[in-house]
Amino acid sequence: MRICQLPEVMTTTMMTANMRSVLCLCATILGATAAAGRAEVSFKPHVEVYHSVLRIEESNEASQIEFMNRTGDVSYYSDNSGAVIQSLGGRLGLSARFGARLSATFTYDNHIWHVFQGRDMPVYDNTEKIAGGVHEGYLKVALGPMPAAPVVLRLGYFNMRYAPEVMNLGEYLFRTGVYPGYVLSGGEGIELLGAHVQTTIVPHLTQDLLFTSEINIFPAYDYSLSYLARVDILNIAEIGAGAMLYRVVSVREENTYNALSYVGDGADTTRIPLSGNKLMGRLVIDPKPLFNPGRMGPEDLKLYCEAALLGTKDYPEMYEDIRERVPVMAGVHVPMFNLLDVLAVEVEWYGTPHGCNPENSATAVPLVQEQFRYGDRDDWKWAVTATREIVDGFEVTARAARDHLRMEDGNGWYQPRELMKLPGDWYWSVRSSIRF
Amino acid sequence: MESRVRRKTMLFKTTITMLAVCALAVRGKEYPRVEYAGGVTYGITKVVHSNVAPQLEITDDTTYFNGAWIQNFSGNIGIDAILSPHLSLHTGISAGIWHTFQTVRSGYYFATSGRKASRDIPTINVQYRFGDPGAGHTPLKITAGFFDYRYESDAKSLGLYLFNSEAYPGIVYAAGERKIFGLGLHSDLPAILSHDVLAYTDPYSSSDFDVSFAYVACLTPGPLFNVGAGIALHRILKDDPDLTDRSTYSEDSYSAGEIARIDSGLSVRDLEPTIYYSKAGTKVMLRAAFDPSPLLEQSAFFGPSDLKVYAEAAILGLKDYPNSYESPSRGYTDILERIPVMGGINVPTHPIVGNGIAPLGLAMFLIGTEPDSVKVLEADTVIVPTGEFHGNYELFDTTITQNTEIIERGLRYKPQRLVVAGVLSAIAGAGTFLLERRLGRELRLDRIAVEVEYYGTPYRNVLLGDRALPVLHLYQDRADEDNIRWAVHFEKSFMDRVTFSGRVACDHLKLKNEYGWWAPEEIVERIGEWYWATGLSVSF
Repeated sequence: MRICQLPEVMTTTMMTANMRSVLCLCATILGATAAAGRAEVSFKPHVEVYHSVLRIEESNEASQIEFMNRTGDVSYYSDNSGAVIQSLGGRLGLSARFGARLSATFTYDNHIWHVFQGRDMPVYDNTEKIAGGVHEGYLKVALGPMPAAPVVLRLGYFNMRYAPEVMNLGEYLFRTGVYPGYVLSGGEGIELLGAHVQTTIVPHLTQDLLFTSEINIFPAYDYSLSYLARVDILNIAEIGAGAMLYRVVSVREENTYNALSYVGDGADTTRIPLSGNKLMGRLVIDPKPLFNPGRMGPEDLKLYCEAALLGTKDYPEMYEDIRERVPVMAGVHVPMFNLLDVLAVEVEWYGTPHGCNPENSATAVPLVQEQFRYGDRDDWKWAVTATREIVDGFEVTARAARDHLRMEDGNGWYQPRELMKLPGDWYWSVRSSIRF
Repeated sequence: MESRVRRKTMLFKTTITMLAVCALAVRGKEYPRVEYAGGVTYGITKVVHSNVAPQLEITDDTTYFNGAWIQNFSGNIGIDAILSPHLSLHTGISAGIWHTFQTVRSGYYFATSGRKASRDIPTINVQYRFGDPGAGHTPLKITAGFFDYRYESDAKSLGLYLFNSEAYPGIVYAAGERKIFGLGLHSDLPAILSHDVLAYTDPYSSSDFDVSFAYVACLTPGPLFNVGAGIALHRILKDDPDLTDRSTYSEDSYSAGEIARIDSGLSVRDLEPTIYYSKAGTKVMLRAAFDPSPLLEQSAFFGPSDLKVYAEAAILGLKDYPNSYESPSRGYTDILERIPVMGGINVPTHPIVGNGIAPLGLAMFLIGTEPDSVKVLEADTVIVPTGEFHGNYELFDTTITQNTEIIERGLRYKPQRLVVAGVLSAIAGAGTFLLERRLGRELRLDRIAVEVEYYGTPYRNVLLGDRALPVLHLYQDRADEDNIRWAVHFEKSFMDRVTFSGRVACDHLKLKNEYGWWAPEEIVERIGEWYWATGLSVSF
């Protein structure tokens, strides 16, 4: 196991104080757990049924790599324009509450899905597929004065959203990689495995500390440490920042710092680790308190933006320019006066010259076909998302976008290749869900 | 494979249907009523020493599992529908996140190294219980479906051979790894003697619709001692006799007749019918347990499960088969090679012992059995013609020559490690003891179990393909190095909901392959190879 060097700013006194804090926290958690063990248990099952349909109006990419087309050539390309993908699924969950401070949740997801119904696809690929697995499962402990506990701990597999106003693009700290700096999109945040402590002890300041395990990209299991803070200013503005030491604890060095991940030849060889540091900053402005918003909805007129640095260190050949590792997004919730809950228009610029797909290739160097493939042709993304809860528990979300769309892989993650790359590519989708 | 997937899908749909029916039909009443349960588990395993190579095309001694880190996360929902005092349905679903073995040496198989989602049915069965539910004993309980069955509750890693094994080849699996898919009848009348009759199929391997029958009895003359015995007619009803009795690989039909044919120049039919090895066979089991806790109740030193001793032995196939015609040959000529034996004891959990002496003993054992480090300086492969022919093809011997540097390990290598282990153990033992006295609460572990197994088969404990013949070792002259397995298990529960457990072992641990099935290779095989594992689970 290797632990990356941290700045040597921690004095012995600070470490002792931190250790004491950790011990106090552990004791408090144990106390809460002990109290919960004696408390009455209440169960609450919950169910969600959802359906989504997605139509690609224009795309020059195929999600499935390398298949034979009609002329017998092996190709990475296919005309996906007009392709329709549907998914129908359900979630069954059970939450148990042990007293006021401790609860546990497990939710199971199962759905029917398909890959693209291409005429050149093997028949067995075109048939119905069933994917299922854990959607969430975690223990939640509330610490401090109730009912608004200032410290909340989550352990397990949980959804993470630090920018709830984001409807598609952004939330880069957890929805990106480094070397290569791939970016994900979507409106549901991301699921993380690990521990999450959130505190609101300081008024108007929310802080998050996360220790999470990599579960999506090879090599799995490495641990990352993240810290986020956001300040609320008079309910008008929110400023947030965060840092992530990605793969700061490598569980097997020969994977994280492996010999396949290098650029150059001979004496000029530079090995690029799969680890790196990410930084993020964001700003949200909600001007409604400055005037009488009238019939505006609570989400209307929010303006927000976010930028991130995906890897603070330069490496030769592939990662020489820091500006190529900075995705930036901006969005606005168009006033809809309660006709819709949210109508978000979002734009992103990410100037990487690489394809930046999260391939399980064990190397920080993009695959040959991804290197400098697109130049600046795929730098801009956009998304328009509308959502409305029609009746209690029944919600419909519609979207038109050229974002980082990737098809699912049936295992809770994505096929690596982005489908919306070139100018003119776009798709629309409608998702409806019922919860009870 | 396809039938497994089909069956799993069918089971899954059945489970979901049952869940819905249970929830809608019987909620909120005494009878029928629904009881919920759930849990979340997170576990980590680290392989410290291993000479086993994973499923890669590797022919050298490279120890790819050394240092492997394995992690899993899963959760489950269980629903019991209690329809009447006699009739109940039990079902549930579980799901998790897992990965195949993570190594940069995966070559072209990186695509399989990504995240995998598991979904499973931990249990789905219906139970009918005869007799008065309030009575202490059950005259008859019938369980049908997919369910857990254990005839020894204490075995953690090793044992439970009657159902966690094959006959031919005599493969042994980790204790509790396998569940029953079939029908079970249980009775504990008369009071001192319980009986279990089971008819079941094997959902884990090929020939999976073969039906086996088993009978297990347990005699409990008092609280101190119980003894049990069982017999399993393994795969006695064959779904496809050709699959069970005539394995698809040609080696499995080598026979005495075949040997005679080659020696005499006669055909098989001139002498006798070819004898096929069959995967079916008869397994027998004998076990015993001694629990001194009633004698130690007054002692503050011992915990409720301390010093319990349990042991088990089994014969995995009563019938001998001749050796095959090959060199080295394979067969089942010696019944002693088909007898796994295990023993276990619960070490006292008193802090001085459980947190002090036991960890020190374990550290000394691990350091003492540490394998020497072999550094390959250069290697070459030499192919030497043997002068023997198989048909028109001349046979070759392939030899790997290596110039190696051996670094001796063990107790004499870095002896300060023993001092460190001793100091840490003393601090842990004395510290916990003093803390218990100061707080007035028990902080000690709930259980520490040490288990050891001896299984003298000369073959690898690996089931490769659809074969009744066993798998030879890469170096057959080192076949007895994997005869002894061991495991140290400990656990501690907090308020009945949170359980922390750990294990240090050289047992029958396996990993999943990219299809979600257990890969055949064991991760550790020889006595100096071991891993540690730890897990945290929350149940509600």
